Amino acid sequence: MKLMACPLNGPRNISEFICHGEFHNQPVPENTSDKDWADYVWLADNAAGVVREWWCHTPTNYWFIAERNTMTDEILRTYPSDDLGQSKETRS
Amino acid sequence: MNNPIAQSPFAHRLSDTRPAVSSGVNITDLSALPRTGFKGRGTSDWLASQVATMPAAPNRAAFQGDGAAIAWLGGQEYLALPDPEGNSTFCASLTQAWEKDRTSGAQGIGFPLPREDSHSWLWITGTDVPVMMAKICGVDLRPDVFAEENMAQTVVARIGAILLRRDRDGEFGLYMLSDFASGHYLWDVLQDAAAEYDGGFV
Repeated sequence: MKLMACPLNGPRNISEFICHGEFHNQPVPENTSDKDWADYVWLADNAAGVVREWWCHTPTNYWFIAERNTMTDEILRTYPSDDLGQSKETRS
Repeated sequence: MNNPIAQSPFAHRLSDTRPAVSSGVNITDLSALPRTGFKGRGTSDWLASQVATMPAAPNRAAFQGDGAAIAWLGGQEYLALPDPEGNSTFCASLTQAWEKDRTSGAQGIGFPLPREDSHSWLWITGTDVPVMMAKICGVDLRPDVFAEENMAQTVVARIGAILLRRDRDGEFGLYMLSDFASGHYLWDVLQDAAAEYDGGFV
């Protein structure tokens, strides 16, 4: 059984979770071009390495952030989305 | 409650029960009893003003003096359960208090989240319950690990479930609340899992 540590519920079978894709800061709609908005909505980086992703613990519908190495599928860290704070990122 | 369920999701199967035994696994349907919840901004403060004891952390429950339970599901979401062996008006009292406060214009008191139509409620008791549950649930429910008032929101037999440790007459026990509409399926799964321990619905 592969385990994932839910920030709310603790270690659980990975089958209780669903990955909802890469985390990216939402652009400010008023200041964003159509191209950048479409990029945010539709495109994924699919980076090889450590990425931040949205995950959901389905029995509780609890959404949180996981840092996962996409090359090894190792889950390095999980935390509430509140802990993201004001962190910024840029997309290549 | 305003709209209590017409019947338990297990009602059509209750003729297929057997007498309780002193050990093993006894599964009691509590789905005809009231149960409700509260959720939303301000719920924690409002609920704390209504009950004697609040849970200390998410995934913990606090049993009141009359045996009723307040279970903290996470964030600002709580579940309220009466004592199955009492004549509690716990849920009705909370709902009436909330309605009274709302009518008087109170803000930031969350909102009721009725559970009678969404969740079935079972009480699974007996000394073999932890080993039986190990067949259908990935969470460690052994008595020395999963203490009284502990909760787990997890998957049991592939459907979402809320488990809350509540012993009965000194024997290990779990409240299990899960999808109301899956009752027919759940009955067969639990009967099958309990059969190994000469258990089943009582």
